[in-house]
Amino acid sequence: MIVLAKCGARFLLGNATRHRTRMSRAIAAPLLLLLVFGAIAPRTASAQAACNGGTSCSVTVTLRLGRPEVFRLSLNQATTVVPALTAADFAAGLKDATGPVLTVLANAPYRVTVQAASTTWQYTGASANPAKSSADLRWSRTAGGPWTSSSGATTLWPASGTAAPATAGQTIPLFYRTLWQWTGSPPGAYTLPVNLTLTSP
Amino acid sequence: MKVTRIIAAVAMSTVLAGTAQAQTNTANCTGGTASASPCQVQNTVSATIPWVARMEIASATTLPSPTAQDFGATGGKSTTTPTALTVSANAGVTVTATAATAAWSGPYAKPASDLRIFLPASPSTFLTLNNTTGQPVFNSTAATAATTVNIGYNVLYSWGTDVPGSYSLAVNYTLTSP
Repeated sequence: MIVLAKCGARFLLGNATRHRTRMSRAIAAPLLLLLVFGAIAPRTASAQAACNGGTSCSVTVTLRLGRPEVFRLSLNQATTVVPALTAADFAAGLKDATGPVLTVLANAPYRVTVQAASTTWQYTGASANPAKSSADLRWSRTAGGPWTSSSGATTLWPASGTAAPATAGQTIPLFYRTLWQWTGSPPGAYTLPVNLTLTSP
Repeated sequence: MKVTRIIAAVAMSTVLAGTAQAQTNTANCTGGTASASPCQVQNTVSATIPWVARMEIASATTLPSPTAQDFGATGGKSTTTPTALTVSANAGVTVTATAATAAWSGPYAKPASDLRIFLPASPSTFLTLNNTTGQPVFNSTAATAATTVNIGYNVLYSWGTDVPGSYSLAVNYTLTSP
């Protein structure tokens, strides 16, 4: 945008032909950037020029930049592997795993929810699919609980209230507790995708 | 110049593609409402479950003292209170029993085969123990949770060999996946 203003000034000084080619080249790069970032930066630009002779003429260009609500939600790991289970874990009926750390950048209030992507775990193994319920996966903000079922959409962040304030990098730890029963958990591989969704209330 | 621009465009595309690939766990969103711009990332929880089994049994069982009528009797002397063996497994399971040694420890090397086990449901069907081949105690083709198997013991006594004293014999119970 700065380049556009500079070229415009030279054009008004009468070097239109000489600078037209340079201007095209100079505009190419900013235009590309505008195309790239256009989606996240809607803007309004207007210019009214009135030059009626004389030795100098100036144009004032006012650029208006909209400020949309912009968010970024990222995880430090795409997959969480539950540690190998033992007979003692089955006897206890559960096994805990440290989940990802979420990082939020937001210029407006936001809320992050957790919900299993499907109602049952995906199973691969020699036995019949036990259709293990997504309710057997629970989550918590701390390693010791309290634990919440992932079968329904529940708020992970903020811990209280309806929305968290804008942030330049809020980190949110996530912990999982998996539930296992002797019957209904045959040998095999189990996977359950979990959706972490950011919304602006 | 045209070539320069094409190279620049290709370079920019490559950079953008690389960025997208490196940020598979990142969602950039504008608006913030689900309908306007879903802002969602996914974390997949995975677990690999092996065949897992567990059993519990009292570490020691005291047998009833034999009387004169028990010596030489082919029916031996049986326990009246069964010993509970609790079995859990997330798939089919088999439990067998073997004597840990070929003979009892005590004042006489009483053979392990003098110890027999039976299930209360079949009190006269005795399974003779030895230290080489396991006797079947429990079998299930499906997962089982805390199934109780009541085990009875029966001992054969002989006038000529079973001198007075204290005898003991360890019995190994083994879980296997069928």
